Amino acid sequence: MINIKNLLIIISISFIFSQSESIISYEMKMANGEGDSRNFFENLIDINIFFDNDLYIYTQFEYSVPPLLGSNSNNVNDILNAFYAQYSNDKYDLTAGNLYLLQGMGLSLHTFQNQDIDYDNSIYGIDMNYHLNDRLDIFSVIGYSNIKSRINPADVDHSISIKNNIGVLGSRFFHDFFDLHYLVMAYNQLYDSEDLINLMNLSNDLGTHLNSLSDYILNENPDFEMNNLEHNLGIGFMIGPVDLYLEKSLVYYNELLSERTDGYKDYMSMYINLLGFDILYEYKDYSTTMLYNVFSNPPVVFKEPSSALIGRNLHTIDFSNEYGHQIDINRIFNNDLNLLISYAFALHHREGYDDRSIFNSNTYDDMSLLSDLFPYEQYFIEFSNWSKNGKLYYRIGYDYYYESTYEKTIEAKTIPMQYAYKFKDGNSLTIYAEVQNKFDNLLEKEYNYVYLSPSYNHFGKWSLTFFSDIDKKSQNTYAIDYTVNMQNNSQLSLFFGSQKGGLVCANGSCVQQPDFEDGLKVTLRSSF
Amino acid sequence: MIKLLFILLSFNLFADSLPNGLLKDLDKKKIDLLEVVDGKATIINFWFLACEPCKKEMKYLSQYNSKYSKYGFKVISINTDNARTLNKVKPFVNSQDYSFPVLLDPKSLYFRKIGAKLCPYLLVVNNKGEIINRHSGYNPGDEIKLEHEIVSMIYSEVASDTSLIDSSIIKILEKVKPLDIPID
Repeated sequence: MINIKNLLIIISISFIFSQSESIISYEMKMANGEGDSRNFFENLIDINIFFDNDLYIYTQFEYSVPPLLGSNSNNVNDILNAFYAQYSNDKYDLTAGNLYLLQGMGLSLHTFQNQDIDYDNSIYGIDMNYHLNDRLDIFSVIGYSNIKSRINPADVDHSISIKNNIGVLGSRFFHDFFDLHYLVMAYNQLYDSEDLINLMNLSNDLGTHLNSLSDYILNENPDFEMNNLEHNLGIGFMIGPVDLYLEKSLVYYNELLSERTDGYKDYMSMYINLLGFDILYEYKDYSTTMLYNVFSNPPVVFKEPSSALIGRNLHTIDFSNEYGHQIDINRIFNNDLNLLISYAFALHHREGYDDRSIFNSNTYDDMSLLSDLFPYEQYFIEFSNWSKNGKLYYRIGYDYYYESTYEKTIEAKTIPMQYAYKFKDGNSLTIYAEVQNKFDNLLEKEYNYVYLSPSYNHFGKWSLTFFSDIDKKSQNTYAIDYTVNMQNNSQLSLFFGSQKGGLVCANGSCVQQPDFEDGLKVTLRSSF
Repeated sequence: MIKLLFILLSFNLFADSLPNGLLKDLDKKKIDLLEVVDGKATIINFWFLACEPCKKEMKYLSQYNSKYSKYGFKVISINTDNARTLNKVKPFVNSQDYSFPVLLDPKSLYFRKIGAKLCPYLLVVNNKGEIINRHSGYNPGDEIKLEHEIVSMIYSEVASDTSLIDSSIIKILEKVKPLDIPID
């Protein structure tokens, strides 16, 4: 990593020679709660510096004691979270530092940072894009990374830390009606014995495989190094009203502590506007069952939840092993009434079990018969509209979710609702209301939840939001949030009370929040 | 060293100018953002599919884009869905029939570049390409204040429209102060 002192010198010079301009944002989050609450104090500063000669530098500093997830960042060597410098001209783009990359739909290469879950799989290195002409680019990446992740997303600290050296070479071609890309990616991975022990906790075929070697792993504490190779090809067509996209990756790797093997990742999407209905069909088949993927973040092929209770039954997608499909239908009637329909279904490849065709209607007859393949099914329908006078908004839906995994078999039915009423001159009342019936088939327990969250917005100056989360069989939680929009592009939020983790909407934006018990949270955001 | 960093931050060298960005449109064509802005008073909004407040706000942005385009105003929308949900963006946008162009920032690099933290996020940019305001979050009713900001930015153009009969615009003209910069 770049030496922090050198980086500060670069920043100092850029400020002193004021040929540059900058955009700086600051975010502070603090929580002090009771019980199992994670108390944290996080400070993030993003500094963007722009130079006249097409040079741009981005740095992100973190001072957290402790952060919500992960370990403390409070000394000079820890506080640099991300850094990259970009230089662009007509012929090429050059980036050095933390590389956030996406090729195609990310079947092989998609690196990103998500601060909310303390995840960053960026490559530290150099990315070069050379524009041969308007239609053809050649690109290459070289670098290394130490990618940290968690077996259990709820864990505070990382449990896996895999070291990688990577090289990528590829090309992109653009035409008016189609585009394609091809890349070859070679990377060397090093797993230490602690990684192998922690990977034994995975609830999938890789975990089962490592458990079969548990005596060896626990007694010998082996490390394991392997060289992986991926070929990735993506082609998109636009033919009249139809958009078609196909992508395939071939992956050659080792089963951990075992022999050489191969796998594949396939993705297809087709979009068409038919009789005013915008219809998207997506298909996925990800089969690298013995690989712990670190650079691949392909399409999920299910609808991401946009309400609190639905979000608590999020599909636990396995990017190494899952096949399925989704259809989305969007339609707006009379320029007002919005209709959204979504259906998603997925199964898992299992060693010793035959795959079931997702194109055979018999497959869908009885989910319990598919339990060995860990089925997931979800459908969703939603209407939303503003009243004629533009004062009242409503959104009402129905969501059905079924998922069976090693640990759970859950069936949930949810009705999410939202109403908003605008008063005169821009103040408004918004109410989120949701009811959910959930049945845990393994524990044979039924749960009924009610979520109610009214929010008052005072002329865009401040808002007050009340949260009540009612669980008829356990403790209810209540909280209140006050957010004030200050001048100079700053926003301050104060939260008092308790909260169940998941998607929380307040003051006109929705963010993922962890469980929190009986305390105070403060959030400050500012941009300069 | 940390203190030094904060001292550096206290220097008042912050950018007013909208930084450029090379983004793609829904048909995967490369777009130079500043070329699209084209010296017009502009609102740039950032959103993603699972963000319900974003979608509510975009309905009004589409209306304002149509209503004020003849006065040298435009809206540019930038979606930040990454590869996990990116292919769902075009069907949604087409179904809504928005009047503004939608560009894609799947790596959120431009989103970082302008210092945004959460969606919906709005940049208000005057006809000199200077960022004059930022908004994050959307509550119903916020669009009223936003429309006033738009009219302030294009005040001269609107006020000199002798054929103006839209009473909603006339009322706003009476309330706001001109913030616009005369076009050279």
